[in-house]
Amino acid sequence: MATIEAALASALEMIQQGASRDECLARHSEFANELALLLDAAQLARAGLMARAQIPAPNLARGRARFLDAARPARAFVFAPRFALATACAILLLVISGFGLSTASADALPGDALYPIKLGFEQAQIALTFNAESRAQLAEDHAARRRDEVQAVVTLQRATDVEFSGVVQSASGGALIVSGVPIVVEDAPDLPVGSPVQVQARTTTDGQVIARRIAQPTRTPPPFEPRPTITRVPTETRVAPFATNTPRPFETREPPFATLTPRPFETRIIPTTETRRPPLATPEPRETRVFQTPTRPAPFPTFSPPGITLSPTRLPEPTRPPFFTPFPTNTRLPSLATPKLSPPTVPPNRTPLPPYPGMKP
Amino acid sequence: MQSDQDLLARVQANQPDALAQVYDRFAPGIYAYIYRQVGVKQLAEDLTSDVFVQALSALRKNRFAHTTLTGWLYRAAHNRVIDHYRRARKKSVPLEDWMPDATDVAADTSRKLEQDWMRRALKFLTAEQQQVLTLRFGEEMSAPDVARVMNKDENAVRALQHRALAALRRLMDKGSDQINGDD
Repeated sequence: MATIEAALASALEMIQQGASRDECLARHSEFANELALLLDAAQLARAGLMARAQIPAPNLARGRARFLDAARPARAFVFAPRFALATACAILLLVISGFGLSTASADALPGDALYPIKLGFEQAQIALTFNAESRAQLAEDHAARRRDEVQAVVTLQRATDVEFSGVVQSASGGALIVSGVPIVVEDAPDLPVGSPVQVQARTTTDGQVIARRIAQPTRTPPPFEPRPTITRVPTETRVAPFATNTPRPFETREPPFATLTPRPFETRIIPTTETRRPPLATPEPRETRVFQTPTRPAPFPTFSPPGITLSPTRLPEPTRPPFFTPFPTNTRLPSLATPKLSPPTVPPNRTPLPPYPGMKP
Repeated sequence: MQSDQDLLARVQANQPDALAQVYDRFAPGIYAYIYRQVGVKQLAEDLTSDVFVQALSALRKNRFAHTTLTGWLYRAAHNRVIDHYRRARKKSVPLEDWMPDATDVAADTSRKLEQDWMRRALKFLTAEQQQVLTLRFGEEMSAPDVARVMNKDENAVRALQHRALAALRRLMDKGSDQINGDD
């Protein structure tokens, strides 16, 4: 037996297929009166609800990037063992084949099978370089090579993920130029020209470089910032205030001759030495880290090329490119069961509603 | 346009750009659906983003045996909105401007009247009635799709749709003062 629910469902389907209201009423004549009222309500519902909020295109792109980023960490996780294996194989083959593979992978580009091997070689090269200056130079060479690779991938119109560093040359509107590489950005970040940046991007088959993430180094040292070195200083020669790890305010207040004071005056210098070396703060400095101030010539002057960050303790790690696998097994992602439908909340704040003013009497 | 199943197959075959296509196809609709309910653009964007990040795992494991990708995403969106209100203990936010810009002034006035009245009328319907009308007429889903999203069988959706339109009709005729909550 036909019901009004079934008749209404059928009529709504007919209208979606292009039938007229009268045709629907004729088809379900037994419910014509009630159906007419319901179809009017449906028409108003359609008219009132069809307006859709449009998500602005840049926000849509940003959401897409966030979504794809969320898929990324696990990809790296999955790929890491393979990368390690590739590196191990590379080293083995290097020994066996006498640098054959090194030569073979030298021209590899992002997206090539040999590319991870090339990066592995480069990392090994840096790890085996002990001279700080050479190592910094090597890192800079590799950074330049990354940029050349991006240019090559763009020329080949290959869609792949790339990562490189460089210096902002121009930032206007949706275009950013980093060390000669034009990059498309959704929201141009506020980057001053000349600032060093780290770029993660994807190249497209139409030769564009679409930024996914642009990061600025948190700390940029001045080009000739003196690099702290570790120097063995005999305990007796705790002479120069700048030569200890103790806090600077005490160093500057300390008279230059304080530590040269002979034993008879020890009672007079106790407060000074005690404040300089609080019992818990500073251990007996058999090995003391020496921070060379800019006014004092460094015993071993070092050169830090611009763009390379030197930390007090170690040289920067060579940057690793991101690795992608199409499908991550990411333990950090929320585990997902089929969502259960819960009743939505009914908003309690509602003002009285008049009859629909567009109603015909 | 390829079907949901084709797209899912491409995602599971690790084909490049398949994930981005999933996002591009469904995000505008999910955003609009969420925005209808929360009325704040930034919040709607954030919740949309949450839904898709949550969907990654389901996409990977193909948890769509008993539903479609569309149905799954809209249900996830619905639940995400509820979670948000539950956690934030917030009341609903008025939907101030979810109409697209119109160029025709006369048509715009008439449309604005319909939209404004309809937006207010929804508040006098039950949650399920609101949802069935929004999905059926706002998102223009078929009845079977609505049934999947709401996790009901089609007959239940038909009955719900009938009750929702009947309640709406009463509101149209008499306004809110003359009716009681109906389900």
